[in-house]
Amino acid sequence: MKQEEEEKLIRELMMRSSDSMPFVDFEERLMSEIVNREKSRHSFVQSIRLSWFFFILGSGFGLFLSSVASESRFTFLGLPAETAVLPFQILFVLLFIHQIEKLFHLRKRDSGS
Amino acid sequence: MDQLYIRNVLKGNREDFRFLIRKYKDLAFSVALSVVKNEYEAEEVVQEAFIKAYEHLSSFRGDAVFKTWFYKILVNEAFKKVRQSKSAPSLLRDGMAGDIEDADAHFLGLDEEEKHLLVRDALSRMESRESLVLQLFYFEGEGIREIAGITGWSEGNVKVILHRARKHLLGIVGPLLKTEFNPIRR
Repeated sequence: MKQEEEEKLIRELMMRSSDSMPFVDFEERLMSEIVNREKSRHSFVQSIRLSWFFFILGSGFGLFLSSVASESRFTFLGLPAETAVLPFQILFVLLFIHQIEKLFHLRKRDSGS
Repeated sequence: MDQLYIRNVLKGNREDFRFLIRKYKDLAFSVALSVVKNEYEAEEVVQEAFIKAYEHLSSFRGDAVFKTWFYKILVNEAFKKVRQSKSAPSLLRDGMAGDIEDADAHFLGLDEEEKHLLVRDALSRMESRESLVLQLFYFEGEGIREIAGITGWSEGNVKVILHRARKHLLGIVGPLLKTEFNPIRR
């Protein structure tokens, strides 16, 4: 068979290759899925904002408490205040790093979606 | 016309997105089906592509053609689905060009429904990349450069795939027309 005939047959074949969407409720399901995803995205953004708010609030409070405690003159199990609050300060720094890493990860996910 | 509805959607008129769904859902379904070979998976692919298009509509440049931009998303989703599917579509590589003697005459003897079934059957037996390129080139009327843009493949690669796809399609259709779709045998 000549090349032109092959080409003609392929064109004839491919003209009949179209298919209609067989699922009649496709449009409605798609629109409701879009609405659902918009809603969940909206609440996701709200949650991130709240997380940042409480993170900043908690960090400020932690810093304040930490500095006040280390400057006070109390003793704990015979240890001066500066030494007694050291484990809590380390814990605070670790928590701070852990939380900020999580928040940046969420922010990256949000901008990527 | 697309631009008008896209602007409306971006202004917050979500319902105007229905226009784009109605306009492109059938074409998108055909393209997705040529890749994933399964109606249910093709529907999932089209749905996910429309949702992604909706969510990223603000990044669509107004000077581009919406159809091309949307097809890029669609094709990407379709191949993602193929990769996710545990069982790859079974491919049947029947004879090559030598089997297509009298194919044209047999083909003309079929009614429209049979012709459609024959083509779908043949495309379902082909490799995803080949049937996609055939679909985009012959049915959607896209050029080599546009197909390269949609798929992300080089123009040279698209040409090679298209050449192979033509041969394989004829190689599959020929035997089918002599057996299952032979109007004389039925």
